[in-house]
Amino acid sequence: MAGLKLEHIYKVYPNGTKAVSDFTMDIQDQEFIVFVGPSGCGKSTTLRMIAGLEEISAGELYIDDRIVNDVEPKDRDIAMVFQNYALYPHMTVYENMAFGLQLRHMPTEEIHEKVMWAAEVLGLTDYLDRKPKAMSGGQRQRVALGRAILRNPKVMLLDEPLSNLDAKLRAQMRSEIAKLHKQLKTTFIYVTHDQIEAMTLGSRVVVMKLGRIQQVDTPKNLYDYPGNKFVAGFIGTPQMNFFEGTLLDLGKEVEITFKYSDAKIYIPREQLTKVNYEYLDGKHDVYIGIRCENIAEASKDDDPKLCIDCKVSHFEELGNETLIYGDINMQGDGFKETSTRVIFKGTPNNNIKIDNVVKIKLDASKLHFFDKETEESISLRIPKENILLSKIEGSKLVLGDKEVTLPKAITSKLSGNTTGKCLFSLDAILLNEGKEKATIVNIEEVNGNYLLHLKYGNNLIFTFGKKENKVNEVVKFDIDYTKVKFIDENGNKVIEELPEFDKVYGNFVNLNTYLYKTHDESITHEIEELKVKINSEYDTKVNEVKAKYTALKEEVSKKDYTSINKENNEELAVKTQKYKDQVNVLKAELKAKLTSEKNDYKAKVKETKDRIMSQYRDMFYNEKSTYLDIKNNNKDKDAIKRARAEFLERKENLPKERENEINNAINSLALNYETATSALKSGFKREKLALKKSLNELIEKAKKDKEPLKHIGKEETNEISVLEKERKEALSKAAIRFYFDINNTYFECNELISNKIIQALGTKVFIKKYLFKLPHDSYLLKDKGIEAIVKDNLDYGNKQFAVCECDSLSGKKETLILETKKPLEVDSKVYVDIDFTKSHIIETGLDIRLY
Amino acid sequence: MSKSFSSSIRVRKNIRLTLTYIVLAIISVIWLIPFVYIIAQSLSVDTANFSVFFPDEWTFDNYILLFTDQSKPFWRWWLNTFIIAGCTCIIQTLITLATSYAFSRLRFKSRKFIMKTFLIIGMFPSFLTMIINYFLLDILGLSSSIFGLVLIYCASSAMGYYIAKGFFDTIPKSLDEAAMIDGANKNTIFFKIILPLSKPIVVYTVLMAFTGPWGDFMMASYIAQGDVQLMNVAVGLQNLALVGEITKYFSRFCAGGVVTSIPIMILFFWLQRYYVEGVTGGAVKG
Repeated sequence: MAGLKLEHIYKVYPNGTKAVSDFTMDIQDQEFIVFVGPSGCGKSTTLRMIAGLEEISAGELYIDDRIVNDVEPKDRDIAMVFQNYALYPHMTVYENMAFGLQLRHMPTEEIHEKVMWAAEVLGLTDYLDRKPKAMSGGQRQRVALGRAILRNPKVMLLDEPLSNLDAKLRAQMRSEIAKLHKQLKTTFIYVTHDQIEAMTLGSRVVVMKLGRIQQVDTPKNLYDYPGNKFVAGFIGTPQMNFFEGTLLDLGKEVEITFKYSDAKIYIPREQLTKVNYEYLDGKHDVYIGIRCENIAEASKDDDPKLCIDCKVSHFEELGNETLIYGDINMQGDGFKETSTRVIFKGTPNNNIKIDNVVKIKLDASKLHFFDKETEESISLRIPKENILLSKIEGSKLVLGDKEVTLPKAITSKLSGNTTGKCLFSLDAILLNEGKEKATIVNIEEVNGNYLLHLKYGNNLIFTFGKKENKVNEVVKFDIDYTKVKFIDENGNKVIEELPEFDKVYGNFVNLNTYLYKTHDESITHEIEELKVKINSEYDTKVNEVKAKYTALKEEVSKKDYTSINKENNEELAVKTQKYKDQVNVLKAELKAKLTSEKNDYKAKVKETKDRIMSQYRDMFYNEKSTYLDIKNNNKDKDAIKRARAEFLERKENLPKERENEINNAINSLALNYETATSALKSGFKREKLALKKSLNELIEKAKKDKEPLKHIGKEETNEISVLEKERKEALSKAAIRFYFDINNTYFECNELISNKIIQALGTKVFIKKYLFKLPHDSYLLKDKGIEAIVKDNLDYGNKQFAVCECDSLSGKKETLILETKKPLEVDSKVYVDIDFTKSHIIETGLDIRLY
Repeated sequence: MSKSFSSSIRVRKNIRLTLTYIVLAIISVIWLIPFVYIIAQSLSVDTANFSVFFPDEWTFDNYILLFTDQSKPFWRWWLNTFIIAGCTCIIQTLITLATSYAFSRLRFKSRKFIMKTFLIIGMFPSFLTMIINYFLLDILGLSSSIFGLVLIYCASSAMGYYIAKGFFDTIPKSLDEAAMIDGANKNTIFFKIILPLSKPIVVYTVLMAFTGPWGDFMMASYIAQGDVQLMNVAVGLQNLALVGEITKYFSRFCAGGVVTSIPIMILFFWLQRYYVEGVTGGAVKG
């Protein structure tokens, strides 16, 4: 019962290939997550990293808020089902399921109970004594599932469990897995390349491609709102139809022009409110996607604005429905996957015939648009930015019929009035602050976020709200001007947003390099002092221990041990005798039970043998009498010949059949016998161990009392050696320090960050280059650090920033933007220290996010 | 029509089988001749009559003398050989299988390099190192002890990893992984999962490790250096067949040969089924 958290997980192989890049995801308790994607997309690798079978190159994996990167698979409390079942061929189904619990030293009775429960759940009770070889694929996979569930793991991992089964079994097992998930209430993570499995099983589906997450969403949302062209094409059969085309805003309508064809359709402008209007200029190439069930043959009453011509090329009969293939380009053939081919569902009739041109109607509300370059959806459910047509007039920004005053930091750079567009991200709107007012016209819930459509004058802006917000409510808001951009008609950036981070490059060095470069005496002194402190600390500890033991020794030497020893010896003798007696009794019991089992077994074998023998004898006599009957009473020679051949064949085969049956019967008896005897033997061993344990304690005590001084001396040396070891560790740790070298300024790196970096990169840490993304509030003004000169102050009204410049190794100036409380004096020198815990650290070679 | 057709098939099949069995019978007779000869000679009263196949008079005395004559202590030789072969067999099997498992399952630096090196070193004949081995044993004080021989035989056992590794490679890796998740460490996986599945290859390795030292003459002869107490059967039998003494001991030599072959025969008959699987199992991916 646990949630999982994957944070910026990477898998990089030694040859440099990145199997998984920047995998970040939160998995809730009891969710059924499906990883889906084409082969080689890293989904199995991710699963194996969660299982611990594959090392995590960088990033963190949490199970139940515990970081498990370096935890052994067996201690992660997970269970896994493999594609090829991975059952142990030499063990029976029962042993296969019990193996994991036996290794965890669970009592036999409890194991038995659990195995029987799992067998019951999966309907395997009749097969417990079989070996995997004698079972069908579906049954084997059920055993594998059983082995996984009976440990009651926190997370169940399934690696393409159904792909070795045939189609019918697959459908059956699919519903069984769904049932199991309901019953167990555990987190399931399921890997598959089959999108039907993904859609039917997952409560959320992760679509992956080339090691990157494409989209995470519920199956329904994936189908209805694909985030990019890959997801749109991957989910759903047959594939979504993709056309190339352009969009042109005509005011109330948008004209969609299809490339390589004369087709044009017109859809209402309201449907594209979230689309960046740059795409509506009739010049930007976009992909237009629509699923085959949203296309239909047009009837006479249909709006001609939504209809296009299509030349039918061929049909695919699926039984319950027909897929009609066509082309909206009259020269196209409809077979090749081109950007004019169209597939739709329908029924062939007089009108729809091969080579006929028919009118088809597109469902305007189900159209998807993707950027041609990036293949990202341009009609996302949550738009990336608000884009408004606006004007700059003096120090005012005119947004439609509203205007706002720009802060000093922006107005100081403006050079006059311009018109253009104003862009700002959704979180630039600070709700319930400031004086601007807007009306909520719509609220959408998207994956737990509440997207508000705000009517601000005649503008529509989007932002995130809370559950309490209601439609038609009037809300106050303010604009965070650091996130506002303004682009004029010529494409020049008139107002630039303040970058979220300053980018600085640097290296990672150890103490020696640091000392060599800086000759920093103070650090050596500091370490020396620390060492002295540690030494004195441990000296006192050692002395305490020594004193404790001297006192003990004195006490002991005063005591007389002869009587104690005598007592001990007597007790020991009694107990040993008792132990021997008890063991003998147990042994005798075991022997008696074993013999009775053996006799039982032998009797059973004999009985079965006799029974089968007599059965076959009867059968043989029956055959013989039938044959003799025919021979004596029949005149037909051919019939007699046939009967004779039949009889001879039976005569030849009967002994073989008999042998087979006897062997099978004896085998199953032997198996039962073996199970029973091994259970008896292990029970005996356990009891004997328990008896021995109490005896051992006594023996230990007697030994201690025999030579008390020696014993105490031993304990003392032990304790002191532990302390010495600790001291050694502490001393060596005191001298381990790491530094970031940014333009020859050194910053001490705290343990958390250095551990992460070293864990990810191993011995190569010192030769790599790192990119530090520093947010503006990560700087501290101190008397040590990067030397920078203040160039400018930025006043954004509610926030103050200072722009500083510092030298970099390449000779170029680097800019740091500091968030400050009050303006700094321009051209003054400041020293900037960096709080790395707020920054992001990225390895530049392979582009791995380390912190 | 159909009847004659089916009967002709049966006739042809019978003829083919008969011919096959005749050929096999002839071959096995040829192969058995030396064996029968040695058994016959071992029962001869006359101590040296090589020219006749079956002796005129029969006796068991040769076998009795073999075990009672203290000047030629065959019992001692047999026991020496058994101890050497037994120890070697156990140690070598363990080392070979462990090496093979490591090469098959663990990925460590220079794994491929070590594998190739082993293969190449294994191609040199072992007598090249004979003299060096002797000096090394002398330093260890084992130059006149049968345990020196055990050491020599076991030392190179890691090089015989090839067939067993091939076999381990055919066992799916997901079994190891499943066991790892079940809570097994490398030891448990090896002994509880991999070994029970590799019976044929274990048997093959045991047989190879046993028969090697059992029939070895070269190394054993220079460890013994003529001391009858240190000889193994091969050296001992050669000692019986020395020039000049051969006429005196020939029938006893034959008896010794028969006794020597008994354990190997038992082993082979017992483990024959696995042996065939083991030899072919490593090569063919199952």
